[in-house]
Amino acid sequence: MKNCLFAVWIASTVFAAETNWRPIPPEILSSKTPKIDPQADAECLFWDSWVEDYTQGGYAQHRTENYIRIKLYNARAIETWGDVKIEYPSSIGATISDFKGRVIKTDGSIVEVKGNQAKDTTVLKAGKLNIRAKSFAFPGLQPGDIIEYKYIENVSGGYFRYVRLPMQMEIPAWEITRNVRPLYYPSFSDRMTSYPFNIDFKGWREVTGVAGRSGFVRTSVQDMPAFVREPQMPDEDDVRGWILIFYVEGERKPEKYWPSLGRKLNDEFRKGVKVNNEIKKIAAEVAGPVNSAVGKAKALAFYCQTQIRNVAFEADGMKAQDRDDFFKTKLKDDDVYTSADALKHKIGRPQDIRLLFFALAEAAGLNPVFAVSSSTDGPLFHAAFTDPYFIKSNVLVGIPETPGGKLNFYNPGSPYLPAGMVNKEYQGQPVLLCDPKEPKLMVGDASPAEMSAANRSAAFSLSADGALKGDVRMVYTGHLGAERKRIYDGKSPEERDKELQKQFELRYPGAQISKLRVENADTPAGDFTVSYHIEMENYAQRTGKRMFLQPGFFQFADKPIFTASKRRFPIQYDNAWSENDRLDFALPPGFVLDAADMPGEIKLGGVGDYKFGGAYNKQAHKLTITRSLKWGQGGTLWFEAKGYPAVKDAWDKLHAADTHQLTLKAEPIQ
Amino acid sequence: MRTILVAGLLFCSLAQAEIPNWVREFATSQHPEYPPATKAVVLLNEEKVTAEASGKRLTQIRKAIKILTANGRSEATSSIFFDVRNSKVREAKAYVLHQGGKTKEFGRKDFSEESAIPSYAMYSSMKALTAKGADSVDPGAVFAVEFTLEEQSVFSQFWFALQDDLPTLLSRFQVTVPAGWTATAATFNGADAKASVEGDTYTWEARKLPPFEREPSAPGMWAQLPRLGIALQAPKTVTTPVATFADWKDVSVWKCKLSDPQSEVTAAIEEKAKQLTAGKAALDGIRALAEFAQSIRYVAISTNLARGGGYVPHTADSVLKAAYGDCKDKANLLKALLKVAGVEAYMVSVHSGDPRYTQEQFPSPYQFNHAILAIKTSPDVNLPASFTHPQLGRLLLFDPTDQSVPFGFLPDHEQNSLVLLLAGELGGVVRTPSTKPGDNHIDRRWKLQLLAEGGLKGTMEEVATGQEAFDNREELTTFSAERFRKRMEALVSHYIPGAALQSIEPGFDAANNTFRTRIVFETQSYAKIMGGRLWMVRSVPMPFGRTPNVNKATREQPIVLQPASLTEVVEWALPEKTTIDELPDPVKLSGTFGGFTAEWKKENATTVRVERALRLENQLLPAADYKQVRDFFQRFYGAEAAPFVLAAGR
Repeated sequence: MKNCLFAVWIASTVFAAETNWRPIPPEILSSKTPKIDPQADAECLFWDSWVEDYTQGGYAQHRTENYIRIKLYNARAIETWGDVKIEYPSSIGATISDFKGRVIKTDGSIVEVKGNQAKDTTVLKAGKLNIRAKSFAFPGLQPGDIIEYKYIENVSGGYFRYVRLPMQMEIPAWEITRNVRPLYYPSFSDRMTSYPFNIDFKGWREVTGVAGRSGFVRTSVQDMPAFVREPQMPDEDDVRGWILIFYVEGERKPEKYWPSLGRKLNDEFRKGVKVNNEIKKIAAEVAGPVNSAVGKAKALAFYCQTQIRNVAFEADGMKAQDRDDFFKTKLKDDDVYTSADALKHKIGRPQDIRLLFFALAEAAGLNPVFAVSSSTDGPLFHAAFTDPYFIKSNVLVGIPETPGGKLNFYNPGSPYLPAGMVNKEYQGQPVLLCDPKEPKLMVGDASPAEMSAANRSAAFSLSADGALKGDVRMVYTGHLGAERKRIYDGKSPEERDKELQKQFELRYPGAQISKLRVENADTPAGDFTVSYHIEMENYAQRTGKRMFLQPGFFQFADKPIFTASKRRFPIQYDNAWSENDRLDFALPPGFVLDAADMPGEIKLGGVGDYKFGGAYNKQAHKLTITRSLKWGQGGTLWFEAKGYPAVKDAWDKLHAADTHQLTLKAEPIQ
Repeated sequence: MRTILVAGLLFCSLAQAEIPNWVREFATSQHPEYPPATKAVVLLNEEKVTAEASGKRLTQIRKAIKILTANGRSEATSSIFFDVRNSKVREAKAYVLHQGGKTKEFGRKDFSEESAIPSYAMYSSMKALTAKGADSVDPGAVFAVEFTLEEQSVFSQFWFALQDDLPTLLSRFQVTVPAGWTATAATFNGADAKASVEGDTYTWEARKLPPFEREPSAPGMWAQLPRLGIALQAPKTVTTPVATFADWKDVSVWKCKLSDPQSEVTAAIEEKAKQLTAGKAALDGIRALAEFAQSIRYVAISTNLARGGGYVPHTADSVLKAAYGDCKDKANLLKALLKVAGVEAYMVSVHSGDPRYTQEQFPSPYQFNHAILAIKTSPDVNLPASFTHPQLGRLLLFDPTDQSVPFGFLPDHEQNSLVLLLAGELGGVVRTPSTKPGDNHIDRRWKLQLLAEGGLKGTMEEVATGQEAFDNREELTTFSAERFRKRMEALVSHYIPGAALQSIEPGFDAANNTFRTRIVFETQSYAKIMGGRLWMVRSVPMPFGRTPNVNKATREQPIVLQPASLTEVVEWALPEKTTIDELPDPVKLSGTFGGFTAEWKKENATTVRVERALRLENQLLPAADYKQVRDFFQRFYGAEAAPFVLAAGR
């Protein structure tokens, strides 16, 4: 079922919906093959929408008329597109009206779908939220048929500040046209503007010659390929075609807009910064004994992370009762919860904890400055897109290493990041520095691979039948640790053990895992650490006279990461990371290494390093393996699609090295 | 990790709530010590029904759950399902009693209301009213809920699950019947529910039920957990609008009354049937009609469920016109089309999903969730889905909803299952036929050339029959050709690192009901070369796959084995300047549930031939047999991964 989540809201009545169906040329009726993509199951012949804000009875209204025509080439297309579900937020006054649909058979005959055949149902009603859906199914469909439908989405009681106009579908589209008319009202001076993403935007042109459609402007795209997701691709907003329309006051020139916004945001954020005596006292206690600005900032950030309970996380046993109490009694709707409040109550939301950090840093004389960051979780920053829509809520605090020197950014509102690291989605992204004196755009640092490390060690003994037993310890730092803490913090120790045990049993089939211990899973202090004992039969493969051992224990059962031969979108990594493994294998008596070699070093250009080596201690009959990997050095976390073959080749080589085998031969030890 | 649900918190009443006595009473219940990761314990699971002869019912539900772990907070949720047309939720309240004594109450406005549309349906008149307390509880807290539902129903039966996967201290179902009526319970899966009768009120209780966790390859959860089927019986002298069932024949008669009128033959039906069968012999004509019904798009629109709407197909004529319908619509349309061809057919009620779900001791339409058709054929028709009914003669089962399983076959999840044949007075439960291992066969042939640097190139040709073929067919139908190729590419390179597919030719052979796949591939890295001297070569490039998980050393639940078989030949052409140093020893395994052989042969100095064959019977093996099963499959997996060794230099 095609599920159109109401991307664009609309309203009724100023004009009736377009009532006439457009004619269909006979060659399209009879065509049996897709025009844009020969593999396509269906193609959208056109999707027209008329989007407008207008007033009625003195109130702003918003509405969109949609008219979609799709050619279905096979049975799969009928399954996917033969029925439609349109969700709409009834709780904000949205309605769906004027639904009409029809099927045009290949012989030109027509089957109408009447509006009353559409079923209306509640999707979710909770508190004030009410999402409803209109569903309908096209009757009598066969491959080759064309379906088309129209409906109006109405929202009364307000114009829309941000409206997303999809310009790409999951099927190829011959033409997608958006007609837009902004709100005209004498006392309303804002100007509607737009920003296109990932399309060949040809600009807006005035709509002429369409009765009852004065004041509209139009843009369109032709021959848009289908949008198909790929693993590890950037955020969908960065690769899929769409347009954002929004209102602005007057002209916005980037060189003036961003500094102006920086000052404005600073004023806004500073409302919650209150430096009182208690804050000064704590700042002195925590930062006083430390010499450098960086050291002071880290100490204050760590204080905020560990001494102020963060209601957005489960750190240090945060309880529902505490959270409930915070929202009921500490945080009142009409009050600003200031930095002083957060310190007094020792509890707050991430934004409250950031404010406290700012206030403590200010009290410590560190000259903090607010900043907002672009995020890889949403559309990437475009300086020409002069609006805070995508960055306003991603707040950081910058502190200079020396007066006027290099700025480091901090986000103690995220409890599990080591002080001085920012969320991985903000790394290396454009940042708007909200410095009241010198607001400006700059690019933040990405943390180096060494700061997010998996440090793993194991000591095993291998028996003559290929069984392995020994103890394993894995320590995760930086983003690798924070990510695991976020996954495991809401679980009891027993639940963590059970989940991890399942994971290990999946990777090491038939293995018995015992003495499993997880440390620092729900506390900002300390690295996320897992240790366990493993006993596994047939870890090494026995043949008649040999045994084959994969020394890369932590990569056991790993499969190649990239399998597709081609790729359309860039590859994006969340963060740089490193892996440092040390493994000791006590070899079985009666077996000696045969033709042993090691993968050695693999060159990864400037992106990373890889080394895999080993040493055999003949006296102890012990093999020691060391392996190290770094990836994403120099902030290289984004690879264009044309670089895919090289990235795939690198990871295929790493996989081959990681799954390298050593041979042990059954011979008496000399 | 938790995201703040401010809205959810604000929904709830701010003042300390008055907690009902029953919640406080059960909150103090002592429970046994459970395995450490047990998320929660159900202190009370109670349903009380007052039934009237008119079909009106008042149901009161009470549930109290104690949260034991942090993850268990998600168990602080409870829903009631109701049909918007025939029922009304009179009361809905939920409470939290924290360990320290603080309380919270959820009023009706704090509940969420959602459409209870199953993923496969377009519309349903069922809704769910849900209390979500996960953000309001900590380990040690008790979450309690009570609902009162008033409904008008045509049914006189009830399902009651005594537990789900959580341990349960007290589970209770109580029904008060109209004067003169009686109630009986059928128990499932070892339910040990004691009934007590007081006047017109019947009560069943079970206590101290342990936690449940389904093991891999075990029967489905609901085929293992204890549950009750409760049936009311009216005095013979009373006329009532509710349906009561003394035996399966009664259920057959009742369902036939609902569905038979819907298969009326209209002019359009007649014309379509004649068009499809023109010039075809009897069985070919039936096949043509069946395939037409199968091609109808699946769209489910379910209404009026409390009044039996879920059992009434749309008329065959309307389904033909719309060219869409749900399972019963499609089966009913086929029934009508067959009438035109003079072929008798019977609707069949099935539980789709787990063949072991339906049990004979509870004659009830509640045991089924799917509809297929039984078609009368001549006695000589002998297809995998054929069977002989003692009164109705030779029948052929067909599921027109499953678009990948062809005429003559049944999907594996409907085989060897109790189903209800709707043939009026002659109707009743029958067991569906089951396929044999050879009916679900994979034959793979590899021709491989190992390259001088350890790479590999070659072809793989696979012919699948039975369920394996149908599953492949479904994949090819579900995904575009490009996506199917990508999936195959991912599958192949999952096992053969770096493999690039040069070509892939998949296709369903409708004449033979087989799925053929031919791939040509090449990879630069396959053999592991050690010290430039020894080559380790995995002798079977891809695993069979349809085998159970035997990772655990022990188990407590039965093991389900699906009937399947495999023959595979891998022909290895070796690079020059290598010699065969070591081949694995032959393997021969046998058990009551199947057998396996594998052999590695040196054909000549440059050729190795690997042959293996596996046969698995359709069996439900007791947990006591697990050691035998595990030993078998561990040796099977060992042989599957076994390498042969080449030495450099010749």
